[in-house]
Amino acid sequence: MFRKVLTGTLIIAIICTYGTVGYSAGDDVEIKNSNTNVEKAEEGSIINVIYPEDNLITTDNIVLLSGRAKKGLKIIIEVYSSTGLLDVDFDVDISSTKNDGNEKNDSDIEEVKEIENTEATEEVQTKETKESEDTYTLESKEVLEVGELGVFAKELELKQGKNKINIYVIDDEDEETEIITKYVYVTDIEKVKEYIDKLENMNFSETIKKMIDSSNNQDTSTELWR
Amino acid sequence: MQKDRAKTFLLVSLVLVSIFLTQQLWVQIPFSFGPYLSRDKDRGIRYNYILSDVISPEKYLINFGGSYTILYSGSRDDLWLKIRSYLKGIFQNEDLSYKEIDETEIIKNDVKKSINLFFADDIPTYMLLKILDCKLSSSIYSSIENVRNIYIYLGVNPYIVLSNGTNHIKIYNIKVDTSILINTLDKIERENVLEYYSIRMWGINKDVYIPINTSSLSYIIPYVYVNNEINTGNYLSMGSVAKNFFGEDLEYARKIVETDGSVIFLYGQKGLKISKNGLIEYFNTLDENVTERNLFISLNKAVDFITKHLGWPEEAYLSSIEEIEYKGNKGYRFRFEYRINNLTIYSDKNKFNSPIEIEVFNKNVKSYRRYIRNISQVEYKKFSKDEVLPPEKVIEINLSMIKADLAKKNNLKMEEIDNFMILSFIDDIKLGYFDYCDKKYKQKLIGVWVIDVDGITYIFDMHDGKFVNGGLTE
Repeated sequence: MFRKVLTGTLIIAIICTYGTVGYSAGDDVEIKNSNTNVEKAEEGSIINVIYPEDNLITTDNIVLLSGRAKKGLKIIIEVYSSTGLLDVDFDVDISSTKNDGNEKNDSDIEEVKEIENTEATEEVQTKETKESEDTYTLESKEVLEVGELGVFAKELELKQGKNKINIYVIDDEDEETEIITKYVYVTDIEKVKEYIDKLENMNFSETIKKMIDSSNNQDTSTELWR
Repeated sequence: MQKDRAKTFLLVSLVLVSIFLTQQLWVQIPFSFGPYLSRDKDRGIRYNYILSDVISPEKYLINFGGSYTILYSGSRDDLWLKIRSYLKGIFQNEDLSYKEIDETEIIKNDVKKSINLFFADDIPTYMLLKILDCKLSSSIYSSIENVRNIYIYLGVNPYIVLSNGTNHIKIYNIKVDTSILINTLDKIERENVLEYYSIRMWGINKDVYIPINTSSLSYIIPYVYVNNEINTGNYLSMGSVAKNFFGEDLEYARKIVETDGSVIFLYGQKGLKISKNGLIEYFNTLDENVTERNLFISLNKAVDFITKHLGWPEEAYLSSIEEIEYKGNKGYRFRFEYRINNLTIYSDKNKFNSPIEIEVFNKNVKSYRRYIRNISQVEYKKFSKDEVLPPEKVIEINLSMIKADLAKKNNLKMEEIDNFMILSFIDDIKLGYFDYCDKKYKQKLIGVWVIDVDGITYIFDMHDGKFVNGGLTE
């Protein structure tokens, strides 16, 4: 009897001295690379979207949307996805009319803290529609209010393929003005390599050259791409 | 019958233990199982610090190849250790290729991996080489006397740039293997770090990095409760601290108890004052005349002295080096900061300039002031009740105060300062904890944004943006 009590107490003591319980080291949130580049895009009078540049091709599905705008302005951001085939057809003329890499898209559904007006605060998330040509599915709609500093910044989550970002600005009279549209193509590194291979003889902009470099980050054969 | 009783007892106690352990990990029960049980969080471990631990960067700006993050601690994946051995590999080479470059020539190649180290103060180059255990290549030392930050480029043709406020030296033709550092960066990237963006995203031609998605910070940054490191209510514990400083001489020392509760010990020329709030002050006279200061000897003495007298808090690092003079003797004042949970602790500059401050004249310690806290409890938030505001929102909340200070400092009228202009005045934005230093036990540290605007440091609460400390001093 006594031995059993002793063994029991011993076991409990051992368990209790095991004091270093795993700390929920809750370290950071998953956010991947972003290959956005610096060029200034549109020049609106009350809004200037600096990132992303139009027709951006990136390998990262999180894209920065940032720029300057008039104080107190409400900006509506709509992210559309294009569904369909996975192939991204890289053509020199990458314009919005082309039916390029269409895949499922998802968007960041986070609510923006700056939103004070509850008017247009809805977030719409639609299921992926399959195999439709040239149609865009509204993935999310958010409202940002520009603060006193006249700047705005938001991370948008996109998916593989072609994404369309519509930016509406509502001015003081509650009227919609200035619609800016940006296209972002999210693809993966291997495909980029493949297609750049094909288009070797064409003239690339510095933007694309840099992207090639980035995809070959750890590759010692980077010289090939330069 | 006895058997059953014993089994029941064992079962019940096992259940209680598992509840207790679960509480530690997941659930917040309204009451805690007694204060002494949470003592295992009391990380009052005294590290045996050597010089190379204490001279370490204040922060690391890491470029994963287009995306950035900032780390405040080099202990993650042994980053600082690996950087040190990489730098050692470079400087060991007696035949260094280097040249002076212009600020404009520093092409921060966005798409390649790199690490930018920022020290809290200018570190003399020869000190840096000493802690890397390298022979002094005298020519480098004459080209750049102090180093404030080191840019380590890890592309195909790696190079490093040593910079201080005025000049930049680029060391190229590096034959050291970069793969260890690159792999470490890859590992850190996979561990899901918070992404930082440059304020260039707003068209400002400056590189200050801030996070945008601050909502995750409310989960990453826990509430931290701290205690004083010594129990000032207990004469015995104060006595043992005094014994540490005086040794056997303590018996012959004079003890004075002041009206405010602080205790002073005096022996010969040495003195020790322990204030009621936990501040420890030690002073002594110089044994010899010191007409020429020697940084290496002084810093070594400082590190040694602090190690032997109450030791180092976690993640302590050198934050400032100042040359001082006393009655014709030349010496240094060193200040050290420390971090809790990877974030530096700040306090009211009017109360304490820094947690550890020591005045050394070569081998003589003239004064030593110390106010260190130990962690008593760490709580990670489970619900995002307290959102962390992004830094630009915090600035917006305090716009009028910042504008007024900028106007005063630059002799402008407030109306002349455009709001957007303020962003271009930003020098640095950091995360930290603030200690109000008004409680001896269970003081809650406030999570803060530390924002430097045009040389003025502001400390704002990260949850509501309220002004906590700093600003323009008259």
